[in-house]
Parts: sequence; C-alpha cells; structure tokens
Amino acid sequence: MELFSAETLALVIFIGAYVLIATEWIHRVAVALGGAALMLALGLTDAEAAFFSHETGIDWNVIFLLLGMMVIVGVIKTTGLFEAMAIAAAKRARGRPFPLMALLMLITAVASALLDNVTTVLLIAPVTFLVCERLGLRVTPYLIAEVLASNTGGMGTLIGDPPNIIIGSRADLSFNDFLVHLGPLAIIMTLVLIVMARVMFRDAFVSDPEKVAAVMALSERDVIRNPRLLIQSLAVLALVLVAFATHSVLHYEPSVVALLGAGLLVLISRVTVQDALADIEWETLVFFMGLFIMVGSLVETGVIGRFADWLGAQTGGNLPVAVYAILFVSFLLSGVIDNIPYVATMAPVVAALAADAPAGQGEVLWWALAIGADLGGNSTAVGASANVVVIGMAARYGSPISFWEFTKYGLVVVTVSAVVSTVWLWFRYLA
Amino acid sequence: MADYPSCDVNDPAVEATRLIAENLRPAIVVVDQGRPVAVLPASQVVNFLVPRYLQEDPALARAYDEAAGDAAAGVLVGRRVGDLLSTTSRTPMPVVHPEATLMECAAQMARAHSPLIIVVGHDGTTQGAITAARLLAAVLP
Repeated sequence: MELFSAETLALVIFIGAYVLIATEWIHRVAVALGGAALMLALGLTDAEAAFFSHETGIDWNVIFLLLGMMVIVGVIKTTGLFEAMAIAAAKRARGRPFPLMALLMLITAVASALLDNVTTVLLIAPVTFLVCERLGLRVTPYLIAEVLASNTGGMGTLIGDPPNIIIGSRADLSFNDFLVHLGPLAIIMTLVLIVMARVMFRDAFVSDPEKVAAVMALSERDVIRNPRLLIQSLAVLALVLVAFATHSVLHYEPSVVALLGAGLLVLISRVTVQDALADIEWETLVFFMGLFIMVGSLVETGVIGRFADWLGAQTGGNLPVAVYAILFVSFLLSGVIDNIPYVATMAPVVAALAADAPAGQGEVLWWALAIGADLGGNSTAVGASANVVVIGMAARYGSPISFWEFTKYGLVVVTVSAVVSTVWLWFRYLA
Repeated sequence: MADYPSCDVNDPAVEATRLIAENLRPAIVVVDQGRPVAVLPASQVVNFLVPRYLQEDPALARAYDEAAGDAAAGVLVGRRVGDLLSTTSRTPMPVVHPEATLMECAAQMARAHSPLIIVVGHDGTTQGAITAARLLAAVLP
C-alpha cells in the first residue's frame, strides 16, 4: 500500500505552497514554480495535462490576454493621459475637496475597468499628491478613496481585475457578459463608495480658498508628453474594446484581441519593441503558469472534485445557499490572501458546482466568486495589489498610511459591499 | 584650500543652499563642532527641493507654472543643514589624508560618487577640499 495517496500528496504540496505565498517567506514565483515542478516530478500531473489541457493546465488565454494588455497599458501610461485627466478634474472641482475626491474616484474607477488596477493607481497617486499639496489637503484620505474605487471599478469588466480574466476563461464568459452582469454593480458600488467617502473622510474636506488659484494655475495640456502617441494608443484601445464587445460576431478570443491590439500599437507607434516589452510583468505571468499547473494537479488527482462534491452536499444542492457561501467566503479570504491564487483554486470548484446547478442557472455562482474576490480585496491593507502599491508610494512620498488606518475604512466599505452584493444577487438572479 | 565653503550641521538649510549657489560650488563640507561629518552635494539640495512624486513622474513637473518653481525653495525655511543630509541617502564622506596620491583621491571620489573630497589631517582637522573639476584638471596631460 502506498504511504500517501496522490490526492494527499497533491493537497499537502498545494497547502504548503499557499502558506509560503501568504507568508511571503519565499518569493511567490519560486513557490508557484517549485510547487508545479513537484507536482510534475511526483507524477501528480503530466506534461500533456500541464501544457495542453484547457481544464487542468496552463490557461494560455489568461496568460496572453494579460501579456497583450500589459503592452497596451505600458504604452498608454507613457502618454501622460491620466495625469492630465486628474489635473483637469481638480480644476473642474475648482479645488473644492469633496468634488475633487469624487472626480478622482470616478476617474480611477473607470480607468481601472479598462486598465489594470495597479497601473491606474500608479498613475493617479502622484498627481493626487501634487493637487493635495497645492490645496493644502491631507493626501491620505484621497489615496485610500482611490484604492477603494480602483478595486471596485475593476470588478466591472473582464479585463479590470486578473481574477475576472481567470473566471472569464474558465467559465467561457465574454467581455459583454461581465459588462452586463457586473458592470451595473460596479457603477452602483462606485456611487455608494463616493457617498460613503463623503461621510468617512468628512474631516478631510477643509479647504483654503486662497490656495485654489495654485491648482487653477496647473496646466493639464503640458503633461501630455506625446499627443500623437496618445491618439494612437486611444485608437488601439478603442479598437480592442470594440473587438472584445463584438466577440459573438468576430469570434476572436480576448487573448487574441489583446495580442493583435498590442502588435498593432507597436507597429503604428514609434515605440521600440524593447520599450513595449519593458512593462510586461513576467513575474506575474510565470506565477500564473505555476499556479495553473498546481491547481490542475488538484483537479487531476480528484481533490477538487471531492471538495466540490462536499461543498455541494453542504449546500444541499440549494443554489442560493451555494451562491452566498461562495460570496461570503470570497469576501473573507480575499482580504487576507491574494485573490489571484484564490480564484485560480476556486474556479474548478465553482465549475463543478455550476455544472450541477439547474440548467442555465449556474452562471450566478461565477458572479458571486468574482464579486467576492474583487471587492473583498478592499478589506485590508494587503487585500489587493493596488492597496499594497499605494501604501508603498505613500511611505516613499512622506505620508505613510498604516495598516490599520487603511483597514478601518476598508472593513467598513467591504461590509457595505457585502450587503449591497447580497441584495443585488438576490434580486438580479435568485428572487 | 582651507577656506573651502563649509556649514555647520545646525546652520539653516537656506544658508547652505545660498553658499552653494552664490559660490557656484558643486558641494559644501558639513562640519559638526569643527570636524567634517559629510559632503553635501548641490544635487542633494535639489533632491530635497523636488517632491518625490515629481521625481518618479517627471512629466507632472510640466504642469507647474513658473511661480510654483519660484516657490520651491520654501521647503527649506525652518530646516537645518542636517535635515538635508538625513532625508536622502547620505553621501558617504570621502576623506583623504594630505599625502594621498592623485589616484587615491580619484578612487575615493569615484567610490563615493561625490563631487568633492575632504582632506583631513592626522589630528582629524580639515585641511581643505578637492573638487572633481580640480582633480580632472590635474589628471589631464
């Protein structure tokens, strides 16, 4: 008799890798690749399954969609567009603190829906410092509000947050599906967030009218570094979005669209190949690959199937119970662990549950996973990549944000998000 | 070169900046109770004047008007020379003794990425300073 079954071995390796990723004792890429290598070496999966199976291997749709969008975003961010938009917003708000915060949150939410969250906050945070400094405002509330808006806006589209990309590929959900099902909730949640910001940060809205002139003197036009490149980038981004939206007509996978868009942008602009590739986060892509192989091993060895059966038995085949179980567990776990490995792990579980759901009703399980994973990231300072990035920038720029300063607002926002999502899912899908 | 400009670590930051600007010096020597403790390069003072967010996103600086540029020195008001040293990575103090060779001086300067090296006597007192320009002039054939 074997000492350990394949299931046990796969589970031990997977849990060990998860602990190492969560504690950051070892670099997460090394953990993902090491875990994948162990799974392959011990025969818990094989090369055929790891590299060529859509169900149990590396999801190349996800990898190449991310790669293509990273190239496009890398070019757009050099144009100065978002800095210019933020300065224009500050001038439009005429330096009044709350309208300024609301406009910055709106810009961040919309940008996060179209680009990735980290890039968006990387572009918005410096200009927020500039505007707040000129107005004599404390910058911390504005940065926190932007991070919360970024994670919320990113939920609304297929390309807004990496978990959505995984879900879209695994569940065969299109750009339009996300736009129709999660877009309205993202809009509602962004508006709710703005109202909450008015209350949560009320002490921060003390303005000095004499300093308004300093903001009105800023020139947003001068920030645009290369108008020609800006037009080219926006044209390509628009084409890519149209191609995403017309998937049912064109039948191009999102990954193919993103790659074509990236190639077109490099071709028509004067960006060198080196510059275009410079912003690709290779570490993230390799992390995804290792993760997919590890999760695939759990599927191959039957761990996921057994867990899905157990979860199905616990929910008694009751769809609303399953939906809310996934929603709340996702809200809770996404605040403390990276939502990318969480969604990668849960995707096959949700796929199994969705397959057992009454015909045509299983899709709501995917939306519950996406909502919980995307919005749950707001709950703590380490819940999402955008949170970590902005907190790091704030420390570098001399306005540190402590873990609890962020988390006390994040927990309130996530609690309200959970309530709104619960009501939304009930009336939209379950009632 | 014993008269090379220097500032005490507790002097106002504005005074040190003026010393650099008016004497067109690449750096000044910072002393504490008469003994040299650091070299303050002009670039470090500029670094202090420019907020970190502008350094990481230089295009944003274009959004400023000239009046904002004129007001940049306002951040120095109320600061001490020591503040200028502590906010950024302090340039390691490049020191040589009076008998140091040309290459020894050049090696110290290169290692510290400093536009200035301080010449210190064996009793620890400052004997003078050598600028990068002076060193290069001596190196040229």
